[in-house]
Amino acid sequence: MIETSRNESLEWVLDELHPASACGRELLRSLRPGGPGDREALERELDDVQRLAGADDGQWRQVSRLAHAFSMVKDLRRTFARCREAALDEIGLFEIKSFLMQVGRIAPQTERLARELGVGGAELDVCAGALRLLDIDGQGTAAFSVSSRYSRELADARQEKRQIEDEIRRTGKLTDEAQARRTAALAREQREEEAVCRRLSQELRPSLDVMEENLRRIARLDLLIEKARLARAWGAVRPSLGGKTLRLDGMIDPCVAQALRQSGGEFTPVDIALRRGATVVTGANMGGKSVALRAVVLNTLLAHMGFFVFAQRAEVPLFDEILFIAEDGQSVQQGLSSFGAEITALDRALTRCEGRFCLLVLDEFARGTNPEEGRRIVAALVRYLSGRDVVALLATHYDGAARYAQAHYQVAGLRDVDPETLSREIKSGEGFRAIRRHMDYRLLPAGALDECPRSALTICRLMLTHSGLMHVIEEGY
Amino acid sequence: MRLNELAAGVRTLSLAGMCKNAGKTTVLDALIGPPEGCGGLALTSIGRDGESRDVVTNTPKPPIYVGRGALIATAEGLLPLCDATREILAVTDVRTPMGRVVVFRALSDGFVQLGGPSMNEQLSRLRELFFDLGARRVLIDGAAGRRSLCARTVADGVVLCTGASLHRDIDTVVAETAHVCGILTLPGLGRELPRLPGARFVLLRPDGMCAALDAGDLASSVKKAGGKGVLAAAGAVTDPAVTALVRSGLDLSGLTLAAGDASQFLLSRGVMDGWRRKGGKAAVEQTAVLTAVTVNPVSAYGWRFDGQEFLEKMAAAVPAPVFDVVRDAHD
Repeated sequence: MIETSRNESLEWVLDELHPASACGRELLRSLRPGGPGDREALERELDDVQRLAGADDGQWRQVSRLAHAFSMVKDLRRTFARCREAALDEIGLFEIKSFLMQVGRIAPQTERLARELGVGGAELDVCAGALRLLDIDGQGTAAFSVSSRYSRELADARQEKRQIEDEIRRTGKLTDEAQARRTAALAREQREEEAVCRRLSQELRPSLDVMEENLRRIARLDLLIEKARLARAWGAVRPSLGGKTLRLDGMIDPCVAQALRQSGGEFTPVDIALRRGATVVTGANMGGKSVALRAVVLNTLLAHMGFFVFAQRAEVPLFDEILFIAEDGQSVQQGLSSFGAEITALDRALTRCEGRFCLLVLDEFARGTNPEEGRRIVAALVRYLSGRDVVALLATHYDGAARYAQAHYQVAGLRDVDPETLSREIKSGEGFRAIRRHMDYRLLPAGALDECPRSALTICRLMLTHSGLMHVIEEGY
Repeated sequence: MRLNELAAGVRTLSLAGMCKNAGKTTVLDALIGPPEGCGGLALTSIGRDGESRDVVTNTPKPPIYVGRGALIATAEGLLPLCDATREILAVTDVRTPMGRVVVFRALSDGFVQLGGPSMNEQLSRLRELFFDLGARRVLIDGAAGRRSLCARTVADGVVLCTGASLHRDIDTVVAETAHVCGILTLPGLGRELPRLPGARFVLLRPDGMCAALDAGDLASSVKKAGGKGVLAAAGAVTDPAVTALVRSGLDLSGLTLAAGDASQFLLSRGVMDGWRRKGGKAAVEQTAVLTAVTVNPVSAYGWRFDGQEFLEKMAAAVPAPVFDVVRDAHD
């Protein structure tokens, strides 16, 4: 029930990133939100995203070409680790050589990134000495063989082997005698090849740290480019980190926005400012309260992961943790009543907030219990949170709960729509789409609106086809 | 014309065996030829568990002697068993039970062990890599059993190896081999097979409409769908499905049974004959090229056929030139 670092929209955003290199993909998988202690690193990351996102078209084409070069880079961390402990075989040495060849090809390009755009950590060390060691024949290709140049003994063994081969070629036969001599020559060759591999591995060892750093830098640049690509595609902005107020202007959730766009709709950007204490969002059913909450969580998480955020302007405090409580049905399957599970989740979340600075987001808390008690509990929770060092955001149906809130937003809802028009559209089979078209999803400060609109009744009128039931409902209002 | 000369003109040639001990390695050796001719030759095998161990030596496959210059793709784990001096050219991302498939150039003559990819798509990528690395000719050692590659995307020609080890009766060996040759040379439809999501069988009717068929009751659903056209199988065509159709009394004369390629036609001889007797036709998406058939009159189980008789009977029964590479070497 508590989703801390993962949510569906975040998964969607991360799935939109396609690092070209294996190590870049690995870095993406291991990405976790940072906290107040990571401010410097996050600012550095955002500096670099900004530099790349701001590249002109020509520069961006070069950046894209770099992604292609990254795709050839294999994740050699295990090979490096093996090399520290034992001798690599010819395959391991081949992999290191071809890695160094790749680095040699990429280095001038990343160098340019550093020079022209000022991207940090873009310089790669080409490990010239290590490459010379592995390219003893000076071929300048990735191909690797345990060359006869590495050892006199190896050259001799191979010459002997060659003589026997030529003999076999001449006679077209492998006699027992030739076989025996061949076996001896092969043993000699193998012994010496192994000795050479041991020696080369040993001589590579001092360069391994640098190679690993190269790999780390490539992974970071690769992911950085993807972050910048995403920011360019969506017009995302750099969040200003720090402070105690979470302010998101013109914020969207790109995952929902895309789904809406595909069905002909459009995401209404949300403006919201959350200060210390509790902020409450109330308002119409189907008015997008949950969507707004998820967008807040998503964009806050992204800022904590060194991404630009999907907004026109963003101030994001650095939280120790981002806690999100929403009913997901799973706890019910686990045998807890949904309310019981919510309380347990809340209790855990409050423990996590002790002595730390957290963002706590609750969607329709206590919706599973009876409304009278639910209203009291939510009101109490809001009051409790208002005195704490926490930034809390609650979406709720219980209007009264907002009384103790730091701030109160309402979904604008179906306020200015002519019910007749809407009803006609729904009857012609437009259903959800019609509601979506007329729903005003903006979050407005509560003072700006009159009393909370009775949107549930409106929606019943619009969507309920059983007029008998509708009649009874209206009688009770 | 000898097998070598015939094969020289085929850019990618794959070998398939009718059974174990059909002499496939001997044929491969003959196709590789003397070590001095190995420049530009690339070799790999289709790796497959269970069929890839030589029972006598317990080595993964009988060793093959190549000359310097040959390009070899084999599994990482088999490299210690290759005694030719090597230059590693590529490590592919294809994984086998013996490790990743790597490509090397032989810098000396020597024995190599082959263990390559097992999927057609991987093989065709490997083939492209070979050509990029300068190969002029690619040989793919297939496994015993006719599921072995014959897709056109992988090979331009197939050599089918058969021998006395298949059966004690010479006529049975000839008939079984002819049956497989018949499948290998099924005509191509010249178009992609119709497919419908989730349907094992689809009927492409003469009017161009497609109908998904009920695999559980193929006969009546074929009948319901019109009973004429291309009966396309997604995946393998197997005996039970076809037997049911043959026995159903349905008029098969307007039906063409079709699968992606010959390796997916797993019909036994009797069932295929039954299908044809009832007037049914068969086809594949793209036809394979049967380059040659080779025969080995010596069985691993103790009996042997008369070499000349075997050669002649086979030649009369199959639509491709027939060779006995051992006899040819002695002549």
